[in-house]
Amino acid sequence: MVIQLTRLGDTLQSLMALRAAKQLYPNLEIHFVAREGFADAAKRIPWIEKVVTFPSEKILAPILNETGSQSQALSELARWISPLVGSQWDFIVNWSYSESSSYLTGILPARVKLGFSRAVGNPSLANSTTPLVATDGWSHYVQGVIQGGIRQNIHLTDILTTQLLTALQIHVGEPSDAGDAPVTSKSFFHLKTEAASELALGSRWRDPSRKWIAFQLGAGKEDKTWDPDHWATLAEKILQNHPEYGIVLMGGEKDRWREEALRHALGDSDVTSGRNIISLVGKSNFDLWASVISRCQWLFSCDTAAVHLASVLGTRVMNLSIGPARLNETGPYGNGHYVLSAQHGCPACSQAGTAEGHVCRARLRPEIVYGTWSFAVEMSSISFNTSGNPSARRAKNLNRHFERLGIRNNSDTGARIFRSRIRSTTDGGGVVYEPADDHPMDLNEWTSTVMGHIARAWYCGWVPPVGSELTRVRITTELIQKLRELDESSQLLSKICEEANRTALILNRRSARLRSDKVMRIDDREELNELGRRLRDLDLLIERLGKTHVPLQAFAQMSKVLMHNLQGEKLANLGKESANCYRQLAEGVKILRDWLKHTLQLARPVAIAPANPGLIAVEGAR
Amino acid sequence: MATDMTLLIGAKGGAGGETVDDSTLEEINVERMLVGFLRALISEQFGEQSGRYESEIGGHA
Repeated sequence: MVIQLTRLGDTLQSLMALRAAKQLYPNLEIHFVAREGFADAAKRIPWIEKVVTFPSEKILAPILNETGSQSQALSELARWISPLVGSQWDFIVNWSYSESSSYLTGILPARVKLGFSRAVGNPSLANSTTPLVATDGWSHYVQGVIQGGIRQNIHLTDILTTQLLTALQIHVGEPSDAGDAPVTSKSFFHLKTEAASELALGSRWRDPSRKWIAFQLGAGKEDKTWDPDHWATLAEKILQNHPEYGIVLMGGEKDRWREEALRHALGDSDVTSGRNIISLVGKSNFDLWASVISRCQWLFSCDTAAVHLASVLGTRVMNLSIGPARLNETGPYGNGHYVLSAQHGCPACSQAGTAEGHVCRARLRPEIVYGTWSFAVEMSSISFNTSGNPSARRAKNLNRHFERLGIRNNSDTGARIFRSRIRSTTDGGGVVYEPADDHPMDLNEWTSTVMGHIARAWYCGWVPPVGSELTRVRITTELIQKLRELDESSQLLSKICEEANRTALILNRRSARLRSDKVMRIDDREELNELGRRLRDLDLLIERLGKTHVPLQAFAQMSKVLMHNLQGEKLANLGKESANCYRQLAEGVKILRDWLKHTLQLARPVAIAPANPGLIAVEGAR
Repeated sequence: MATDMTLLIGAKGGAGGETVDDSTLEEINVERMLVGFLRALISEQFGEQSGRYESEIGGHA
């Protein structure tokens, strides 16, 4: 039973992870819980046994409209949950990572639970509490790092997939098959598109030689959207320079004004006529939307569910990552997608400001988006030498392409461009967004890369060599300065974690000797109290270091989450579990320090052997 | 493994140790859970989850 009570984008990412699991474990019987409004995607999957829709509107609307009482809503909720409670599930996988879903996971009976759940309270005690628990390692990471707002570079689809496959490997066994079939495909969904819907798009749409680009105009939040004038300029450039392409405008009812503004900005000409731009804004259902994106060669979109839909369907994506979007976690999944971000240095992005405050929305100029896309199209149509460093060669070629088009992009004040790649397992696995333009690496990007490395080491063991994702050309003096400041504090953090580990082990040994955790000799009690105080002081030091240095913040938050989720009631068990947590933190700090050392070493000036030593000797003699 | 989606599962599988739950319905305070479920749904509807879970995480406390 998979619980996904969030929005469509997360649902699509969950479906990708489930597809991978189903390929490796074909006997899995998957039941999927989704909100009524976002359940269509799961309903179109033939290998999902049953989709259970959660009627949030029916349960919540009477309370929100003040036409119904809380007890009526509770009865409704109990009626809905009753058939689910009747089954004993093998696995409950809660991928919603929300407080509400943790209660649902807590109630449903299952052998194994993943994600957020609730600890069982004592029904005989009126004041018994049912605290939130993160049931497994990846859930700790989601709670402490991702929801804690810390930058990290592991994609959510990879996290969900790894979390589930790890549990299946432990409880079901090794998969029988290597699962070579691709996860994404044009036939991912069994769609119910009526021919009439597509016929309404006109004869050009049905012409197989015609190429199409989908523009997803809106986004779930206003601060993630792009200005209609920008969309218009982009459309004009594409249609003028690439007559083989047409554009399909997509969006919901609330995006109609964007379409009108775009058409107004474009004006009426041969190039921008209805033959070349067709609109499905406010007209499409899930089936038509998926069918059209599947037919398109490209999707251009801000951070929306359309990005994940295109990823699932194997349509290439130009993702405009503006506003509070986290490209490493929710960017397009697969090879060869492009992500353009202008969030660096945007004050609203770093402080969750208003839509108007997001300067990143204006800094991402349409000519840069056009330049990147036309470069991607050009690169896919030519074959080239694959030896050497493909990223470096791509950056060089992209610069030349921009020069040819007369586009100037300063990556500090304009856009930063990334290209997605699926890494081999020896390189760490999963999707990675590689810079396509050799822009300088800032502390946030460095921290995000290091955090991804640490998480892999903690939870899956597929760890690339330290620094393999780093190139010398991207290291700036500013970054070096900040890393030098971090050196001493990270060393201190390492010592604190080791000391805390030792203290917790002493606590474990001392308490294991006791007959009772409650009745003991006074000197034993004093010693345990002293050990507890020392641990609390060390926790405070970890917290203080996290507040001082951004890259250390993750350890402070993970420390809290790990300690919150300690299992066991006996003092000795808690001591042992605490010691394990501090050891985990110490391992993470060691990896961070290895990265620090590697980066500082990489940035050192290197003596270059003179091309003609004899000539230099002569010059030196003068 | 899937060719277009290289997964992260590896040698350290299960390092996090997921919960194996053998509690019965009788042991679960269902009513309290349902009330919590409903309240959380309402507060999420109003977007009151900023800084979520922080109040519930208190380290060793």
